[in-house]
Amino acid sequence: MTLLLFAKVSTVLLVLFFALVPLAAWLERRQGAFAQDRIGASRASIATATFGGLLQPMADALKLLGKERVVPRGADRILYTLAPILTVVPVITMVSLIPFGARYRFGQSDVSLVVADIDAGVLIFFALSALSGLGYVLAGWSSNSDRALIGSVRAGAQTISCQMAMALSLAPMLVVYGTLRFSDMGLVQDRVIALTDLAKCLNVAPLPSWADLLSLPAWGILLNPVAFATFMLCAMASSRRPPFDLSAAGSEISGGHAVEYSGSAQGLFQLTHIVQLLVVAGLVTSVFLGGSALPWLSQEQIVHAVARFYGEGFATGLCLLVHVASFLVKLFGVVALQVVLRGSMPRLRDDQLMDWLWKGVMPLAALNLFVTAFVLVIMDRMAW
Amino acid sequence: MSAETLLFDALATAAVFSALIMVVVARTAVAVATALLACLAALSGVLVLLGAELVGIVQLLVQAGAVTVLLLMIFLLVGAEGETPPAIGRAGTTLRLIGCLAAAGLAVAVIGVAPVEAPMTAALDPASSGHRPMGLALFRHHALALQILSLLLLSAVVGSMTLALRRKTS
Repeated sequence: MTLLLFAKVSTVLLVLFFALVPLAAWLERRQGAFAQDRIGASRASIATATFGGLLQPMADALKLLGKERVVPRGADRILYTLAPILTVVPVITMVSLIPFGARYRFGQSDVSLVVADIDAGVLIFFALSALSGLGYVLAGWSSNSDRALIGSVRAGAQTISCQMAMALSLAPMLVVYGTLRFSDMGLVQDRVIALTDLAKCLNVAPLPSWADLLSLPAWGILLNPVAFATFMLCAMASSRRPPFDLSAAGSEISGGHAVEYSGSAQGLFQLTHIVQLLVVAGLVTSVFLGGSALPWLSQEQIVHAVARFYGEGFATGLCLLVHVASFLVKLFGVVALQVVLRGSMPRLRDDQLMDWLWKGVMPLAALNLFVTAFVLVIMDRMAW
Repeated sequence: MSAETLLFDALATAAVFSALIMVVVARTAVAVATALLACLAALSGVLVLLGAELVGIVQLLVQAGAVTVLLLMIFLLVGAEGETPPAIGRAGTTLRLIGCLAAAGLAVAVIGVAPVEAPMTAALDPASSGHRPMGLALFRHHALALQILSLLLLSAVVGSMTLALRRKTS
């Protein structure tokens, strides 16, 4: 059990740092550049092979590790050193909550592709998100710089507002799925809603026989698109992704909370930025895009179809690989969506963000929660 | 010594040391808030070790996450983040002596009554702990208390908004 956990943690960390983070950083820089009619970073190469700029994130990380760390005069050294660590550790820990696949049975043992399959995973996500926000506040204050202090105050206000908005946005899906565990949400979405079942729940007249073919995957984005939209935007705001990066507005307060950081500490903030991009994408995929499930093709159907020819062990292993690939495709799709939103919307002012969150998103999310609960009660938890 | 006992020792030591830093060593309000964060995080770890996972997670979420952020924001906005505590003056030596005696007495009392090799027992039944039983208990048996508490929170929110608007208009 301990060995399995160690293997999972090691695999996730290796894949995260050597595959997912460089790919996400490359996607953000390249796609963002294309949106602005630029080529983007593409100079880093190995023997003249640039691989389309894929080596640039690695080159940037090596450069930052080699740069000198300059501590400003008057900075609180202990908190100045602690702040980037407090920012990055909770965000990396959040990756352990993301289910990269479903649960698979190999003989007598069950394998799940999530490091921390905790019963209250949603609560831990919110707790870690709040802790990460603290790091930004401490970074700005401890730097002994005016602009950094402005950035940290904005970061604190943003953290408080976004936490509540995110919780209210996600609550309808918790009501629909009936669980706080991210892996269970993926399992619930691994099915289809047939039109005939919907008609039965609504007590409408019997549908013709061809209606049996019409069905939709039971994904969260189709069940509750309002929750998807609000949670996606609130999660981007919580992770300080543009256009919600007012705490680190480069053109306004010269980098905000991280303005006085250099070298490896600056690298940690940039790592946090990319890992938050992946965490938001992973959670949106798990809650709203069916997790690792394929549309209209459940895990049982895949295993049953392949097991007839190659045995159950091979079928389960193939299903595992297909699910992981499906999850990664969806993950990077959401990453691309975040980059598109970054490139197409101007930065919000702090008063605009507060207005939008407190007066727009929260009432809408509360109303959505009420309507969702009302519909579920009326339809008597429509057939799953 | 089991891994659980070692982990408990580490978390308890971290909680005590961070509380000492918060109360004795820290010179600025932000340092106090950071030490408080460390103390609360260690305590939430102890709660998880004792089997109260939901309480530990909520402790981390509410106390360490929300309350500490709010404290820090208040310090930054009010401008108290850099203030150093006032000098104690002539009574300093007497106060320090009283504090040391009290700490020594507390240490003797704790060491005297705490068994050294007491096994850690998970007193909570897994079937009765967790968010589902707690939710069912709250909404079935304590619904009235929940509604009264929500009214209290609503009055606090409305009161703070009224005060803020009054300050703005004046």
